Amino acid sequence: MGEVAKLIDVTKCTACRGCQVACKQWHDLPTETTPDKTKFAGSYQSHPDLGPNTYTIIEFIENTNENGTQWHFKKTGCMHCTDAACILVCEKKALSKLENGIVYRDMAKCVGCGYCAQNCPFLVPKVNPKTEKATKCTLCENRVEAGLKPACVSTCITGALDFGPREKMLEIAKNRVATLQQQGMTKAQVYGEKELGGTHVIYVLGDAPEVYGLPADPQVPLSATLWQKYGKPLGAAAFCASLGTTLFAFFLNRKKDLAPKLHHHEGGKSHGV
Amino acid sequence: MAYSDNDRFPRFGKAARVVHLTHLVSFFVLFLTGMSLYFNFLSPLNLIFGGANAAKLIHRIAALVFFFGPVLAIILNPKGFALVLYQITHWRKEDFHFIARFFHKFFGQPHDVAPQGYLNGGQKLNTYLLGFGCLGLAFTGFVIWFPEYLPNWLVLWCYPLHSLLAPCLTAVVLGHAYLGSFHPGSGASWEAIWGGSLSRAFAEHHHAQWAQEVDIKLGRVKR
Amino acid sequence: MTNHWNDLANTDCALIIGSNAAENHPMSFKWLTKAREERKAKIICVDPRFTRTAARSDIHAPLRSGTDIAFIGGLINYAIQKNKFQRDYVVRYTNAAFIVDDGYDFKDGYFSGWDPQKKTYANATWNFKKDDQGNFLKDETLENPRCVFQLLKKHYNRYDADTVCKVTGTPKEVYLKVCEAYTGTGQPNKSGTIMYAMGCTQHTVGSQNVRSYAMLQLLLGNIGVPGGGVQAMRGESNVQGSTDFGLLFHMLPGYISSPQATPEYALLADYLKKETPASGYWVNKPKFFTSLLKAWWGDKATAENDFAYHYLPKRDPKKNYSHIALFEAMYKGEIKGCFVWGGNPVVGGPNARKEAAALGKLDWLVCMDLFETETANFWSKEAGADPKTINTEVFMLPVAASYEKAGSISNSGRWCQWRYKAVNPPGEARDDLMLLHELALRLKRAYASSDKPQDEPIKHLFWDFGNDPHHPDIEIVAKEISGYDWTTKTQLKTFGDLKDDGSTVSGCWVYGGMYNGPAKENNRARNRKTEKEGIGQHLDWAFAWPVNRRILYNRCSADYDGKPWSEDKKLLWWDGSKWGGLDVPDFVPTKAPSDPGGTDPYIMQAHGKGGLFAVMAEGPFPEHYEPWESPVNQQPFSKVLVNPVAKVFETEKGDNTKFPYVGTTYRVCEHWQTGVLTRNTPWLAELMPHMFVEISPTLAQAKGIKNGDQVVVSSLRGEIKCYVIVTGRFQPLMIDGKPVEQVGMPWHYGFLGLAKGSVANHLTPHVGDANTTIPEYKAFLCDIRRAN
Repeated sequence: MGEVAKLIDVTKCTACRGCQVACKQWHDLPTETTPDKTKFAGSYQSHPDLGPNTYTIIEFIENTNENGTQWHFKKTGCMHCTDAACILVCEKKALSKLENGIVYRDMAKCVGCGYCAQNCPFLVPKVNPKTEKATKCTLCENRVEAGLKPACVSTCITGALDFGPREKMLEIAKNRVATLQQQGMTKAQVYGEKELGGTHVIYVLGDAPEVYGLPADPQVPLSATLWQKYGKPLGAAAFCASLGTTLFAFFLNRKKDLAPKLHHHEGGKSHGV
Repeated sequence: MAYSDNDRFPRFGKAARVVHLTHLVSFFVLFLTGMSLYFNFLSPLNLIFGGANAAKLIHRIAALVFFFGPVLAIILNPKGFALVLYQITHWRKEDFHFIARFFHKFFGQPHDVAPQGYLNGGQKLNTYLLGFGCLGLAFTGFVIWFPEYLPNWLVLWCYPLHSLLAPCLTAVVLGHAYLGSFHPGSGASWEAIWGGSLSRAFAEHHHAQWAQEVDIKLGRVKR
Repeated sequence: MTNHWNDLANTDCALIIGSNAAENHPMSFKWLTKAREERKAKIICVDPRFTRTAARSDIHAPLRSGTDIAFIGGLINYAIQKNKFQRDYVVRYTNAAFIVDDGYDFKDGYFSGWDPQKKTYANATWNFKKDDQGNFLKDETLENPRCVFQLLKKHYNRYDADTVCKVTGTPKEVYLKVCEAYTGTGQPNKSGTIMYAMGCTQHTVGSQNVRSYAMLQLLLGNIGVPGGGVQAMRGESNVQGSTDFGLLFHMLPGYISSPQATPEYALLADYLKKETPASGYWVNKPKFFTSLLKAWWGDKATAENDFAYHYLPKRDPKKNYSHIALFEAMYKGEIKGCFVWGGNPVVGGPNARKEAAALGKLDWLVCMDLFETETANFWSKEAGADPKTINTEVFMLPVAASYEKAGSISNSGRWCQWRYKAVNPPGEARDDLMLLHELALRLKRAYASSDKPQDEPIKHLFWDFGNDPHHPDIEIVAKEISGYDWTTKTQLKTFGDLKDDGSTVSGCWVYGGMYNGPAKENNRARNRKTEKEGIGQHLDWAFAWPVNRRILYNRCSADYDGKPWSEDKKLLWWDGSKWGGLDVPDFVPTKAPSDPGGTDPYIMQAHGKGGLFAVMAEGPFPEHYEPWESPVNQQPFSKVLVNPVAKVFETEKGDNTKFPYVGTTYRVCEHWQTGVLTRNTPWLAELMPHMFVEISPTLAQAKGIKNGDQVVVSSLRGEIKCYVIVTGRFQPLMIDGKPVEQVGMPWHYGFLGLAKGSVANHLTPHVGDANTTIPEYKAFLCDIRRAN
């Protein structure tokens, strides 16, 4: 299989959250806390954000205005970007790109530095303070390898989730957007086709990305690019230059008798080295 | 008091010396534990500390020592700190004269030396470089230590800064360390940071003005 | 369901009323989403609150809880006034043309026959006129002022949009949008489906709510066609099955009325005379009934002894044996022992605190569930009880989950599907059948040596389900349900083969033919072939009762001549010699459209027509009455405020000046029923960890309540403390010019398990529907305040 993608059609989601549970089941993830330790959220949303033991959540976005009430349900998780900031900043090569586009995480290599967590344009990876490993959606790369769909997709009732070759998912997404626009959702759009070099999780949105809390134009942070492409080589160069110079001076001066001597004269400039 | 060739020139108090030592050690530890995040091929370095996560923990402990050591020194010896502050904020033409001949000195080339004060021009510059470098590293380091409590843009910019400052500071420290230890001309200055004082020969050669001040202050009159 | 889940994909418009399908029947949205995408179907959500269903609907029409009949009555009126109903369908396939008894009348909120002293109806006048030969008098022009159609028109003439919206609180422009969209399905090439659940039934007028949906569907020609029908979405996966098998107190398996302790029911012949109608498919009732008695008492059921009819317990016609009534009796100390089998009334029962108190009057209580229930702990401090004062002996038997046992379940679409055991139950848990089997065998052993005639029903009970003393052979059980020949022991092909002479056996006639041969492969509940092309009927997947029919009353899908009303909605058609098509015909397959009764699709009715006019406890047409506890003191349709025949057990009702808000209870997607299963499952408890109540921003402001606060919700029955969600999804409704606030809460929580919370049913009353005594959980009066 070439590049794959998961399609999330938010206009079809009923927020049953089967995907959330299926994800935990497949990855054998515990709950984040127990109910008695959970603060009441004042909303139906189960977790305020993704967590080290929660790779996907449905965000409940509620809005009541003069046009009535809108209640959007947005599945949130790793976007599996082509230009993945997390891979760029991962010093341990724990994150890497598979041929099929999945951003693969190698838990053995991860040291939990959290660079990926902070640099992700969607703030997806989370560091587990107990295991000191950063976690995120794997797009069930092991299931995909075995010819299965990701756990969340296989449990989705309404067809809000789909999985397959990226080209096909894009085609479905575009057709769906055309239908939605015909039905009056003029701002319906595909999200993820071009963003960050093309993501491997593609959204069909019924409205502007900002409505769903998605950045309209996500970018690999400039700081990350400067850091990895320029900062690190520059720093290394400065270090090496200093090391080289010092070593050079060391060998140059090694045999010289430069120790200060007592000069018994009054004032004036001292000469020496 | 009589002048003697064996006179010592008291330079650093106990607090400063202890702090310098701990700073040196913590810097080295930070360097070793930080390197493996900088260059992945240096990951085996972590084994010294018992794995990557232990190295991370040690990096953080060392960071605390690195930052709070000098703070402690300032509290314990405010006069010394005031002296340094005074020195680095008062530049004389001799200081620039010194700096202009820095590389002659570094590479052991003959050069003339204008009489230097308590801190020579190079040390003043070094104090700025190391001082701000350490403060910058400490600040960026703490920011990336506690990203969840800080705005993300700040955290994001602290990564490259920390990552750039660390090798640059190391570069400066290398020169500083060489001059203060193995450099045949100035290496004897380790005596000041180890024992607290300098020999007359060293003091008069490297800090002529200051040596004179000390002699006067201590009433050491040359007969 | 008249249709089935997959068939929702064939609809052009889904009217979801009294249901939060997206949350509580999530699978329905698989098919509705398909209909929406492929057929551009519209989804209309009628609900007091903006739910996850509303979020995925084209129109959300809010209505005040308990005003469904006004809402639907207005739609009926709109369809008639704007001529949007499907006339041809109405004329021949419903009883619209029938002439009604001269004595029938409706005046001042009462139908004819009202006895103000006894507070009951004599319903003799709710009937049709017949000619001398016993044929129904009809006027197919529908012009006769005494025909059903004209009486219907007159009755609902009062339900104009303005009056309706004054009662329901629906914004008029939204209401008219619903009217326009839904009555659009009255065209022959369109079909609309009405989906309902407990939001419809749990009212003092619950049964009439359902009636009103059915009547609207008949008018629009939406019953018996793909994508049409009235869909009762069941609250549990096998409620359909348990209802089929006699769950209701007045029914034996297969919807056969249970006999009563009156002279009219003294002997089998009396029973059959009383219960068998002159026409319609129920003329076969003696065959079904006799085969049932034979299934229960085998060789001991003979023609000579009335097939052991006298073994059947006879119910007291003056007594009500429904849930509420049982707990009232228990409260009075009339009941000694109780089995609570997969139930949790201390959380789920109305006026649950009273029900917990009632349990304390028992000598013994047996609870069977997957986890320890609140009911099994009704005596504890957590329950608010004083253990010292309670003498009830409580037994808790752990039972297996559905994946830990084999057997069948029947889904809402009447599909009986075989399930296989995946894993063994943990620890000492046993599957329910095993517990029942051992109980039966031990009872039989206990009575084996008795000579008393009253012990014979148990002593002689035919219980031949294999040789395992612990577990019955479920294949034998299934074979008995389906029916076999008593002498040859061969399985019958359909319930048409059943006889009334004791030669056949059937445990539940509606499932007749499900197991039509000796081998396991003959168990059609095991069928697992999906349809490759077609309209999603999947005739070779599972078995749908009756006789594997997927859409009931499917004769209606074709016109008088047997041609489908439209190509798009074709289901069955007459090919000149027989009926064929995409379903099993709902009548004799060789009966030509021109034959007598050839246009009588509703075979279970004596007259063969859809009942626009039908006998119910409150009258033949649904009429709007307020909930027992209502925020208003008068209503525009009549002076009668509350259903005059509602089953009221409470002595006192909440005053709407002290309890000014409309309270309602509901479920969320993440928890199931009383939460015993889900609140003990960490992953699900995590999704909905806390009990909460939802209110509007305006009510929150008035009460100084902020989102996430702790609040106290109170009714006359008690008060509960919980968190609050202040949300724009709740809005006050304008009722007759005045805003009425609504307060809603889930009823899943209790004091045990991982996710705990207050019991919402401490607030609900012991008041029930007039026909079924289903409790009025969905509309009661309450107040709310900050907890501190």
